[in-house]
Amino acid sequence: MKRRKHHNIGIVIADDTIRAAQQVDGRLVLGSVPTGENLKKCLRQLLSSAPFVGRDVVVGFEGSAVLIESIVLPAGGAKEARKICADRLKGDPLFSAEKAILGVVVEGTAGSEGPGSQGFAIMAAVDKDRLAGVMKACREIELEVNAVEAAALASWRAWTSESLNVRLVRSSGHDIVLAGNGEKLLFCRIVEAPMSTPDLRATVGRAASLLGAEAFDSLAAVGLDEEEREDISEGLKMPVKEPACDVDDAVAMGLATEGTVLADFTPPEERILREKRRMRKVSLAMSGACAVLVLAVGVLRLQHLGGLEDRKLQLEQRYDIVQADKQQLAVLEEQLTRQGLNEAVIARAQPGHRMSTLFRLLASHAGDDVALETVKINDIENPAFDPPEGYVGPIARQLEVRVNGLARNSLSVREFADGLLASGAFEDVRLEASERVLLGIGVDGERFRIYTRAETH
Amino acid sequence: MKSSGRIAVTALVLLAASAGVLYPLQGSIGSLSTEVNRLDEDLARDAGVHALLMAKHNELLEAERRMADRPFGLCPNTPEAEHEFESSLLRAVEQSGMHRVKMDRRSEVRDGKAPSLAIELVVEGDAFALHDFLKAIEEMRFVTRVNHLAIEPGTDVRRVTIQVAVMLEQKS
Repeated sequence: MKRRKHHNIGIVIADDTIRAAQQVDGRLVLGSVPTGENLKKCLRQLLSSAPFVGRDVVVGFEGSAVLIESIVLPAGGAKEARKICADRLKGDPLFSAEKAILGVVVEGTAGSEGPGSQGFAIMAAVDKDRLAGVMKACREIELEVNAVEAAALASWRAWTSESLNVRLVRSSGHDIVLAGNGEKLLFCRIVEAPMSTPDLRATVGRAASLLGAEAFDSLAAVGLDEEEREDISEGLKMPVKEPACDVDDAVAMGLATEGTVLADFTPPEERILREKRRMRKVSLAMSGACAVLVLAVGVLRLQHLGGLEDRKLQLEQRYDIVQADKQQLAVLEEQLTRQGLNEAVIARAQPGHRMSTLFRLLASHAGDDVALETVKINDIENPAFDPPEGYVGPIARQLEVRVNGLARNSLSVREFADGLLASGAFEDVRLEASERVLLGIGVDGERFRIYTRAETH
Repeated sequence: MKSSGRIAVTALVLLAASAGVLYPLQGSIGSLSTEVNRLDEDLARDAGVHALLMAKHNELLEAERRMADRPFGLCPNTPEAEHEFESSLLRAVEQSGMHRVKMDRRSEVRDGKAPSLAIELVVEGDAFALHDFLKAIEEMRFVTRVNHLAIEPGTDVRRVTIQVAVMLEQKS
């Protein structure tokens, strides 16, 4: 949505009408309602009568509620201008200090600046009761009063001129004569309209003398018809021109135009309220900006937080997987260790001789001449075997063999023992005992005991 | 108080409020970042675990294949496997033509830490039956060892006492 560029609404509080003007998007919006008893209602009607934008207003008083007078200050009296003006109003039934608020604009004469120079001032006074009533109404309908002025003084801002000039503004039954240099208003006089030609001539002449000019080239006038314009031109012997721009209501337009407020009659309490409103506005703007900033930062940080949480979740899942891998690894290592031990057991248990082979050797060498009565074979570890460290091969064992038998004669025993030794499977074949025994009538034999040993490796 | 002062106070209040809102969030982010960094470091430290696991797995498969390729293996260290060994031993006694007189069993640890199951058998039979029985023992699929063999004269046939040990698998 496009934001419309607008200025303050200039509201003119006159005796019979309330008028308003505002520059909206470079276009002038004007409105007017008659003054009624209920000022609040009138203001509402006024603001509804035309497409005014916003609630910021500048209020200007016109008519009986305001007094404007240009006065010449004595030499060196510029510093005491306010006191001089107050003294002038002492005893005034309408604009005394008790009943009116005084505003003073002090200016020095052109080309005579210095401590002893003569100055002049524009004195303005606004009726306190009227001002209070208007302020109350504005507060009640929530208008933001940015300034309160004498409308006549504000009309100087309705249009701009580069050089020294004099203007005649007819508004609400009054003729306002204004004179100044560029944007600076230096002279103002208000009289009931229509102002007589001699009076106007004298006023213009006085303004010229105050401004240090011999005469003005022309008079700019608004609010006059063509006939009145010609009459004044003939009477003053100078051209009466219209302003360069289109000015329908110079007073309201002046109030609506931004510029220097010569005398601000805003009551102190209204200033405080205005300051409070400004403070509230600034605080709200700061709070809003802060909230947006916090929100933006918060959203970004929350996104960051969310990202971190996601990453943490992923890492935790990976960590769990790694932990499971480590547990599995421990199980595998245990299985491998067991397999290694099993392989070592098998390697150590590898036999050098098979018991069946050994038994067959014993039986085969015994033959027909030797009868084996008892045979004892013990398979034991070789006590002389000293494997190097880390050795995983077969463990050397030895088989101790003890044989008790009966042979035909001692020669048969010797042949049996020699046969065992010659087989290569036995070593240290010892005939431990051998004796001749009578086996029966006329039959004898040789009883023997042999110890031998078979080494596996 | 001047306007600038009020605005400054408002700004300070807003700053405090913003800090109050954002500080806990910052704290959460800080602690979470610390945890994430710790997890990152832990994972970086354990980066090679999976590769090591796969290597160990292959190593185990290789070891199992070697064991399977061996002609003899270890008897599983379970009651069922031990019972099966005893049954096969008794079958071998019968098939070789010997007669069982007595059988005792005892578990023992021999050869260092290698556990084994030792069975003492008293059987009767002739030399040929004993030879067949010894061969049957030696041809069993488990690693066995005849620790003791004693042949004594009997009434008609010889009485043989054999102590056979079968090697058991390591439990852990």
